[in-house]
Amino acid sequence: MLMFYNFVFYFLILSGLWSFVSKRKHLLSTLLSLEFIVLSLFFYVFFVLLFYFELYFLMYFLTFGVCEGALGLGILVSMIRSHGNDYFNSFNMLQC
Amino acid sequence: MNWRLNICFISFMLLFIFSLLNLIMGIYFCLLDITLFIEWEVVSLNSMNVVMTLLLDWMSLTFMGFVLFISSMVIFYSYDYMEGDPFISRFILLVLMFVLSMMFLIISPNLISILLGWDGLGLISYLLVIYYQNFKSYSAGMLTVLSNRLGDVAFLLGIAWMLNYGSWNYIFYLSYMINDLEGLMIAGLMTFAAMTKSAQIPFSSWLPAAMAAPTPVSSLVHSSTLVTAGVYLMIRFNFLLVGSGMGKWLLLVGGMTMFMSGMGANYEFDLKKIIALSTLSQLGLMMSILSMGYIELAFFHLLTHALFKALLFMCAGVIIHNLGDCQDIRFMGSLVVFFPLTSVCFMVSNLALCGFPFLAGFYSKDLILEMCLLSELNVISFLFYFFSTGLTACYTFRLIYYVMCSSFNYNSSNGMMDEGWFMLKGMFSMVFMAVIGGSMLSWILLKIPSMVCMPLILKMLALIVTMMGGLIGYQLSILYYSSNSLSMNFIFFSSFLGSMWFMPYMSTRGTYIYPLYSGSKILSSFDQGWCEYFGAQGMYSVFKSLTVFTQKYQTNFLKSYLLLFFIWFFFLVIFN
Repeated sequence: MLMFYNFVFYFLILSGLWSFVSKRKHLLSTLLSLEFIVLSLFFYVFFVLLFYFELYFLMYFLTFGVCEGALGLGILVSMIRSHGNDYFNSFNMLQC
Repeated sequence: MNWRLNICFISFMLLFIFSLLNLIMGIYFCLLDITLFIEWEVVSLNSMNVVMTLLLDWMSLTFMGFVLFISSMVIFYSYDYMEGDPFISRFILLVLMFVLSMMFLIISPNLISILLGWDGLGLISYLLVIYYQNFKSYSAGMLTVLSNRLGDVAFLLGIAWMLNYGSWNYIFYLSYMINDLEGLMIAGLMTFAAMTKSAQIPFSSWLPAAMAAPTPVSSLVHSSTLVTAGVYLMIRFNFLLVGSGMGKWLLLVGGMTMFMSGMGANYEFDLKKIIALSTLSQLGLMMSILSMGYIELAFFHLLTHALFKALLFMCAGVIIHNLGDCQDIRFMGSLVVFFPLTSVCFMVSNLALCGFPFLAGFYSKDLILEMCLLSELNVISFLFYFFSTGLTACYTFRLIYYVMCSSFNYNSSNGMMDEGWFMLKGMFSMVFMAVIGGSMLSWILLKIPSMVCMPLILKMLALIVTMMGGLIGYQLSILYYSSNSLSMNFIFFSSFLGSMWFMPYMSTRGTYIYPLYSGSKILSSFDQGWCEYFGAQGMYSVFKSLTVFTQKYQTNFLKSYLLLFFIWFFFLVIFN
């Protein structure tokens, strides 16, 4: 019966994605939105798995999500080390 | 004289032994009328044979013997002349390679192997002319090699035309070639090639310019061997030459060359250039006599001329060497006091050149003139022959006056002496041959004496012309001071005759001036103009603007790409 609340989860993920692609100044805000998407996905997967009584699978998902967050922070740190800040303006696609 | 293990002495011994061998074999072959063809079949495939052939008959063996003898004497002489030169090994090796190329040319009945020697001669004479590395030698070498190169082109075209006959052994086809158009073409092309190599009239400007070479090189190359290569080619092709009508052309060209260089030598003041012009005159004589068909006489004169001309260059070399490399005859005078032995050799070779009775030149030259009087000549050629003989005596005696008999014109503190022993020994062997060579050869070469019958005045004509020419030459060159000199009054004729009828100017400035001028125009309008507009700078600016334009659309915010990705994902999800 909680399947009928799919709309809420879709809205959560969508808003996270929206915030991901919005034009912002800092890389950290992009990473934050990425974490928000992971969190909402976690919520969604919890309610799906709860119905089939296989909640252990959620642990895999959580591990991978946390690693991804750590990786993103590592990229942020190396970018600050090379460019001095984490503004998006300081790098472009052409790498020149 | 200590015989050290020097490249000069080793090559002298080798060449001398080979020359004696060749001379003996040549006389043997001549008396027994033997001709030897030695063939080596390199490759044979169905009907195509690649065969290397050597032709050994009396003419090639005798010529080889003489060439080797003169080159051995010249190498011996150059041990002393080139003393102190750090690159003497290179010099001797170049001379030896020259002799090798000449060998290839002499003993081949095949156009391809003649080409091997012909191109080798042209190349090595260029390398020898530029031996002293200064600008004058470089320009002289360029003139030499490019004039010779014209003849090489004609030779190569002749080889191409020769393909019509099936093989390149021209010796066997000479009697068939007269009837065909291809034979006429080959005759014309070979005549052209011989005219450039032997410096006949349109191409005669390289020979005086090539005197920038060291004197042993001039003595070997520009007097006896390189310039006689063309004459030898014409001797081999003589049947075709006379039969196809090219002989008429060559008679006039040779006569004009004789006349022009005889006149030019009377105006020259550089010792080696006078001798070069006298070589040119004798070459014209050889060419015109063989265009009439008398090949034994031409060959005879070739050999005797080689002997005394090489000797003359050697004497000139001794004089130049002792005068501190001064070649101007206005600085020489009374040298007979300082160089007694050299003066003996100088006088002998000069008198042999004039045709003094019973020296080497007399037998060949007098016989040539008598044969000319007996054959049907036109007046112009007759005048060319006899006037040039007189001019020969004229410039010879002028040279003798300036070098030997006039008052002393050089520095008073000098070290002129005749004690270059190797040079003297080389010259003595040559003077021995110059004295007896003519009579020796006349007994050996001319097997059947020709019947000569003419009135007394014509018989004496050669001697009269020579004596008058000598007298005029001597008297006209005695220096008087005057304010109204005849050669200055007729300055056009003096400069015309003295600069070889302006042909050197045509060969040098006439050929480079328009290409150089148009080259500068092309440089300014093409290289620095339109080519830059369409090529380097123009394309650079076009590419730069395009790239700037492209870069403008690529310098985006990273998030835009993520936004596009998100929109695509959204559509996929909605319309799944």
